[in-house]
Amino acid sequence: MKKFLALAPFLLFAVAACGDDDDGDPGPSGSETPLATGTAQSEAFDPDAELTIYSGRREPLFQPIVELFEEETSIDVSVKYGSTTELGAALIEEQGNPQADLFVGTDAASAEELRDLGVFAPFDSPALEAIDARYRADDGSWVGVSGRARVIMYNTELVEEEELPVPESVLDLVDGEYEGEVAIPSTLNSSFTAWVSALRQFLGDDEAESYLEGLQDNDVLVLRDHTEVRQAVGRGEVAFGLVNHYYYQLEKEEGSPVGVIYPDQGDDQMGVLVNVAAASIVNEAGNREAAEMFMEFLLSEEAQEIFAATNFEYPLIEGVETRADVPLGEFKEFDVDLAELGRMNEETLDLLDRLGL
Amino acid sequence: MTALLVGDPTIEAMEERSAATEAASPVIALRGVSKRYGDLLAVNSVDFDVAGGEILALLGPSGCGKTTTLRLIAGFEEPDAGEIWLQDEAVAGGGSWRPPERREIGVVFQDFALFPHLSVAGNTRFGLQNLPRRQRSQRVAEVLEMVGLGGLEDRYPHQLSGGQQQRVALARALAPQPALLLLDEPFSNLDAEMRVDVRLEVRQILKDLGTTVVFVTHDQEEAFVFADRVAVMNAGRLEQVGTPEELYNEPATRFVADFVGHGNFIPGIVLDGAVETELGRHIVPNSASPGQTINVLVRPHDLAISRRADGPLTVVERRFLGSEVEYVLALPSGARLISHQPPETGLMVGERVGFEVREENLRAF
Amino acid sequence: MAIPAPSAAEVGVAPARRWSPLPVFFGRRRAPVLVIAIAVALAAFMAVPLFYVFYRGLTGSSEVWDRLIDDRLPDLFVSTLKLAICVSLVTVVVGVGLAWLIVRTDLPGRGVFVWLAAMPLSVPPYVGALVYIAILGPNGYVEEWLSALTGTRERDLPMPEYYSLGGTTLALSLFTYPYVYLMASAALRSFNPTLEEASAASGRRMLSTFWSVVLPLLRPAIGAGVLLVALYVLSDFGTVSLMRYDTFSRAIYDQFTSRFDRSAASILSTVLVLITIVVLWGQSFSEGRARYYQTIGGWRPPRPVKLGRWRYPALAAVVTVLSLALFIPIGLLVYWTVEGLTDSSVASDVWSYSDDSIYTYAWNSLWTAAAAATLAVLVALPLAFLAVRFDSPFSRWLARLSQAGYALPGVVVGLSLIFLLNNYVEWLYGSAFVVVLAYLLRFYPQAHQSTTAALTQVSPNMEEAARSLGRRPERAFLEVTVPFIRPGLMAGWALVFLTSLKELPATLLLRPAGFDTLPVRIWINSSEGIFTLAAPLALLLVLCSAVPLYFLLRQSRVGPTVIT
Repeated sequence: MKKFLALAPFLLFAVAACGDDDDGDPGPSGSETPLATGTAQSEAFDPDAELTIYSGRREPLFQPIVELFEEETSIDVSVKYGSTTELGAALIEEQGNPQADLFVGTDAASAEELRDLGVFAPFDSPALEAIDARYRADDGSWVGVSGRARVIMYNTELVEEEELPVPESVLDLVDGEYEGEVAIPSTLNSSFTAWVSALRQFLGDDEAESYLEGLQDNDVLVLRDHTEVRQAVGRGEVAFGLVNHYYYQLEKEEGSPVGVIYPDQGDDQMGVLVNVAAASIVNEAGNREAAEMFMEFLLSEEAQEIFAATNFEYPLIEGVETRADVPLGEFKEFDVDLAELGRMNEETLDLLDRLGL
Repeated sequence: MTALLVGDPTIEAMEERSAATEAASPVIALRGVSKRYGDLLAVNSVDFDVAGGEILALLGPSGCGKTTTLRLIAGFEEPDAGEIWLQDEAVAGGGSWRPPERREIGVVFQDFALFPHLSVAGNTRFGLQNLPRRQRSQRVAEVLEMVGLGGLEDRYPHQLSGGQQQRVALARALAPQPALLLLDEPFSNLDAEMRVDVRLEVRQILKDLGTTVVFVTHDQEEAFVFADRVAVMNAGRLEQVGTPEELYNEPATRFVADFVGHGNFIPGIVLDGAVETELGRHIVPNSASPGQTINVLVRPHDLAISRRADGPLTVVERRFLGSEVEYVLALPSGARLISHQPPETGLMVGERVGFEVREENLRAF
Repeated sequence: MAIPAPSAAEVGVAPARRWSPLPVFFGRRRAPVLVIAIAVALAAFMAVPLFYVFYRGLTGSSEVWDRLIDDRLPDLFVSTLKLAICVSLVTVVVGVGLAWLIVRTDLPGRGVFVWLAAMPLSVPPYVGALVYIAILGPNGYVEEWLSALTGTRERDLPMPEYYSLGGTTLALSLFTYPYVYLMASAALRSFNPTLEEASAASGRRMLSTFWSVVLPLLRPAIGAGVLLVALYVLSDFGTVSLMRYDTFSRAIYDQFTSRFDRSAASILSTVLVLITIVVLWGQSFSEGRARYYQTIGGWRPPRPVKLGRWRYPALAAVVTVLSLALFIPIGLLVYWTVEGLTDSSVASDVWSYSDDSIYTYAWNSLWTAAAAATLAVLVALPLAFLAVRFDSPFSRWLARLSQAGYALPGVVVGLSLIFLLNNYVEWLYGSAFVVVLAYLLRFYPQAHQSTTAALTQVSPNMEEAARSLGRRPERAFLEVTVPFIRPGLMAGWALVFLTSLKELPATLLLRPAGFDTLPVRIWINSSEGIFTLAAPLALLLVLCSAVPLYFLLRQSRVGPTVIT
């Protein structure tokens, strides 16, 4: 017995090592079924190969699509979830040794930046034509799969109790009456960074900087991510939050007393920034075939329905309805080239760093 | 025959005695063995032989190189120069090297180095891996019985007293019937009272078995009681090898004379055929030329004293030792001497005494 | 063969030994060449990430250096240091206080407290932080309760801000004080009571004795505990992120993941590693001057101090600390777990979220931690053997090099492995083994120190005895030394296992797609704000950590008595 105890850790290790082998191999069962999708297949296609996706989209919003894809194609998909920028950084380091086949991020600006760094492979498919050219890179390096509007959400009860006026412009948030009442996500969040770039483009660098300083002077609450922002607004920690529109919808669905503002609708105002969650095929992807299949799947009606249904996003193909309170086209959008925002990204981050946001 | 010899070939008496007791070639022989640690010459050209069944003590103060010598014999260290011969085969030096595990030498360490995770029987069995399985338990029982530990086979070292641990260490070392047994300060970890008994017991066991033994000690009394012959080491060098009597009576060097037993050293000037000292003129064998100053060794027993009102010596201290009395005496020059006398001598501090020196026992250095 | 006669010519000074480079490095005795080769290779391997971080940082663009020095470094430096100091102070007070009350007084129930007080180590601080966000955070349980009580709105309550230095200190201190507690109580247990008696005999009262004799003598032990706490604070990522508190570790992660230029992250890493090295150096410096605490001599159990009327206030204090650090967090985790399991919409997600189930995460955590622990022990054997048996400047230097992980916070290990492997060892990257490697690099020092400590206890005579009984060196090591140091090896194994199990930032950076561990899942689920989903995972993690911790505690109490 004593002897056995001494060996226990080593045995555990041995068992572990064996177990890992079992885990590592994709299960042979089921994977031999012939594929039944309409996508083109090359001769070399290996249905046993796993498709590896890095997803900046949060798991509950993306996993249903992955599961549906696995079901329909019998391709095993493994996903690494993280923040868009975190996974983007990994992609850069893994250049030349790519681990992922497909990347799904939450905004176009960072996708453009990654494209510029040569992380993505161009992609062409008839399916792309369904997507407005504004929402994809020219060479298909990144393709928008769903749209999100940059809005202000607010706590209706709090606004009433505190008798706060509902702001019509994001620029109003620097007013003294909103002191300590606004939450934003940190610069870890690429959607937020893209929005700041948009501000810089609209206001000019100096104005944008003094606006951000105004927010800081107004005790803006910087939270880790959008989920924290929407929860802070939902439970009344602050009255207003700068988020993508579906965070408002999600919080509302949970029963919180929240409302939404699509700001800056006046003629001389900037409008609402509409950004897209973008998917890209990774350069030198080990399993390009499956990645292309997944890409096309994302642009299919089925997948778009899921984006619309689970996450209140704006589907980007015709014929799929959004569940958002305010559909695309019913508000003024900020007219911008998303790729241009990507090129401004680095400078925007410098600015935010300098301000300590 | 020549092989039996030792440090100082001038001591003929010893050579005779050795020759009488030992006929076969030695179990272990060191030839010019040296070991250096950095700048320190820990063992410096040491030569000695140990005959079959003999117990040799390596005696000396700490740091004299005796333990290093033992470790060289065991094979835990490699000599930088010289050769070590074990039963007519060179095991170290001269291009040969036999690692400790192939020397068949038993070792009892100062801290016993019992394996704490093994029982008494397990420890004893440890060196018996070459014995057929069935014979091992038998041998273990035999050896444990011999050292008086029968019945304690299943105990663990931490459950044993110091004396018992010592015997386990001995049993473990003896079990494979080694050609040679090395003991490193084997009794120093024991209580003073226990030490005397254990010492005699162990000696009896080793003698009964006829084991050849080299053992290291810094305790002169222990060396004399336990060993057949004693090798005195100092600062890496072998000073003298001989029986206890030889060392005491015929010390080859001043160091040996000083280290072995008490001694009074009195300076004297060499004259024609004699030495002039404060204790008078005596005939003392020496190699100094006339006019030189040398030291004369006077053992306390060789200085007889008696009460004499006009005696040249004064009693300054008196210590009762039981079987005899030790007197510290002052010479007119202020030098001190020690003399051992029977208790009935009855001298008091302050008394003046006369003396007599047993001239035949005097040695000069 | 004939034995040569002794020749007079041979008598004299022995010739200097033949020249060989190895003894110069390895002191008195020559170490086996194979062991040296293995040790050198391993030490070099362990130290590569450290040097790579420096390389990347120091070759980073000077523009970025300037930007960071202007914008970030001073603030980060101050905030990181402030946190490290605050947490150190709180853990010293709590840790030493508990140790003294439990070890040296007649506190009721100390037989139980002696274990319980160390158990918060099994709660990862980021889990603790989550729990306290739910309790003390905005609209947390406390605010809710006060609001219901007073009728005031939550936001109008005059509650201190939880997302602050104070809150972060609380969250970190509650789950790291056991480091100080364990060190201090071990020192107190071996404390020679005659010293206290001598102080009493010189007319000192109890409190005065504590201040003037006990505390100064405990200083090295406390220092060692505080060092572990400070190193933890410097490397912590999960807690400070949850608490929105800026430290170097968090800033490195943020820099790495928020912008696609990695030199900023490398530069911050270099600075952080330098700070860590300064902390380590400072500790070894003060330890070097204060080695006097080991008291040898007639040991007897000290007479417990009678608390008298302070008995119950002291008990209340101990129970309060344990409630905050153990009962409340675990209670809340159990509550959330039960709540999640009874809510049918959540229950199924608890067991299998997405493709993988809770068991997959647990399994991933367990096997990677076990693999790292086993590797750590295997690496420690030759290195510790060399350091202990062939002590020399070179072997000591090798040992120090191999423990570079001490100075490498998890974020930095993750980052340097990403850089290194993608550039030089591509095939290795992208497998779960990289995660194991990160644990090994980070937590190896624990295995090294346990093994060295154990090996120091084995007298070399033990191996020599085995050799004189016919064992070749490697057999002697395996048959005698290894069984003897087994408790030490097991302790090292358990320590590495325990800390690997809780590791978050390096795992977050290095995990391959589809390979999530319990901490990663807790992290992801908690960032969704769904405590009911994170709770069962956290509870499982705490349980998994409690087992090796319990073993370690038993080892540390029983071990010494078995050895002597």
